[in-house]
Amino acid sequence: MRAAGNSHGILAPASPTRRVPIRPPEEGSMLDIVMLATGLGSFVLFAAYVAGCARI
Amino acid sequence: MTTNGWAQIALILALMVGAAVPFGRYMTAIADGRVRFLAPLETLFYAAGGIDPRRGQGWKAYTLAMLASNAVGFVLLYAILRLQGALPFNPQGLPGQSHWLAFNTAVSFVTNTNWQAYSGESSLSYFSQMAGLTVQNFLSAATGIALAVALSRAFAAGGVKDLGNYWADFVRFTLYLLLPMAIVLGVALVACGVPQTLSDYVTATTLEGAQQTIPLGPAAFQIAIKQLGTNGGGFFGVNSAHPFENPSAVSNLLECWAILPLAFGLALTFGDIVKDRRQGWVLMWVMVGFVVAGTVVTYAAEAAGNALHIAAGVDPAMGNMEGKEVRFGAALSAIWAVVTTGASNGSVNAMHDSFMPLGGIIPLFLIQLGEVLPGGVGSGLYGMILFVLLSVFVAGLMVGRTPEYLGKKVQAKEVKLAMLAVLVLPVFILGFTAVSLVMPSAVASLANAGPHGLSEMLYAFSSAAGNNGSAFGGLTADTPWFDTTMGLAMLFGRYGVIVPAMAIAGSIGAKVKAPESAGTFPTHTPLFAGLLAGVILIMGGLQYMPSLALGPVAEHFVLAAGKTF
Repeated sequence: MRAAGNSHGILAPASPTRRVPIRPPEEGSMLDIVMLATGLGSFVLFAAYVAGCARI
Repeated sequence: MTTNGWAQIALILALMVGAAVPFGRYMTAIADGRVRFLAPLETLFYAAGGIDPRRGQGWKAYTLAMLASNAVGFVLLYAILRLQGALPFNPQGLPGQSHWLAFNTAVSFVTNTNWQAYSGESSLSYFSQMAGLTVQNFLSAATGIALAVALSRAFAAGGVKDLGNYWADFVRFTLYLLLPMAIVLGVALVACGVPQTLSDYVTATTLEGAQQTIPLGPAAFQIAIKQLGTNGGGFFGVNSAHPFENPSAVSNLLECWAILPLAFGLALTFGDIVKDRRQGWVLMWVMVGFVVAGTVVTYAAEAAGNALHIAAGVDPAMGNMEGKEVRFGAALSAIWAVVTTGASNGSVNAMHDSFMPLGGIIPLFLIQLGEVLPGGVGSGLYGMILFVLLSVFVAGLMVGRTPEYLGKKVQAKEVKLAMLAVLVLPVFILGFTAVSLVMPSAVASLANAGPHGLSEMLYAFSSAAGNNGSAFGGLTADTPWFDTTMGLAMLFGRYGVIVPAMAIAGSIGAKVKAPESAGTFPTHTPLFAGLLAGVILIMGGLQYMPSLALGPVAEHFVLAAGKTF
């Protein structure tokens, strides 16, 4: 029989020994914008592709 | 090969094919709006979104609505993965994923690929698994089914202007098909011993006295939908080879079976919608034929074992057991490998990297054939229709008639669009593989040299662009280069096929349906099934055989000469 795990409340924070920064300090927010722009830009491109395919 | 092994394979295949009939009919009923047992909830969704489900959409509006819903899904999932350190249900206190990895993972789950450059138990919180990945498992599968149904409607009658309402199809297939099935399968998996808990990981003391952390989590329901929705992303890093993700022969049977009934069933749904069930059966039997043939080759290769191992004194009775679970053996590993790659599922119960070269070439080639055999839920059917159009075009050229399918003339516009869709995959698979193989930094991510290393790289980009998501293994994929390029391959492999396929739906739908005549090429016969299978094989062979010859085929001969990598 396995040991029971600790119950975990919905909003309970992680234990202090495990807690880590939400975002490591060396990473900037600029890359978030680049990644989101790459993803969303691709969807915009596919929307334009819809118009392109309609012309064939 | 053993009789027992063949019997297990036959049982799984029989259950898959047998289930296709009721599921196919049920999906037709959902597509027609005849299933309404959750009508109040369905209406609530429409009211919240300001949607009129009776309002039809043309192919452009339908496709743009799909793109909009998927774009929102991408942003939400990216945000969850980046911010998971501040979100609840994170008993391990795991930080957010890096920018690159979050991009890769978000794209992966929105496109139904589920390529995983991370290990779930060591990098994702329960919230990310539940609210992020599991939600997208439902939505990306519903997206595929909705698109396949919309394309089917285009062939149903002449002068079809609207293909249905995307939002209505999307909500209905989620509510009436995926959700109930996932609940039933999830409960069954819990009964098999798969964890479904929000408790923290537990620490155990081993017999040697060492401390071992045992990961838990809300795994069962995510595993249920990842199989049913042909998503494939494992809750745990090694997917269904993990003893908690797939604890027993019974759970293996359930999980393997769950990959294909909807994909096979959709072929029959197509027959129902076009009001000619024979058309659906022919598509399904072509799919079944490829799955059976692939399984025979893979099982034969794996059961024969590795000659070098046998020479070293390894008992050959079990076949090649490197990278396989002893619980499942060569037969159940072979059928799973074929089913998961034929279906764009991508979950694994064995490591494909450790398959014999001729065993590994089949999963790789099935992905490269376009994930149409039988393909992912929805994506398999609309991919197959593209090959059907190319087949009737070839047949038309041979007899000198204007090709037609189900009474609709297939003209230059449809063939151009079909070729646009079909050529997307080789461009991204072979292009990114070639570029990566000349980049020292990318080659450094490979675990093996020689033809096996080439296979690892080729498989990774095939899996991404084909929206399969399984990993051959042997590639350290969480680098900025692979996270980004594979993310792009997933996006273009998904939507680069969908958009022209939907344009074909718009064009075909608007055409008049001509009555069948003596000159009509019948598309419900074994002859057409053979032609369709031939076109799929020849196109796949022409596109990928040179790269396969340099990878698994070369490795097969080198291995026979006693050399490994």
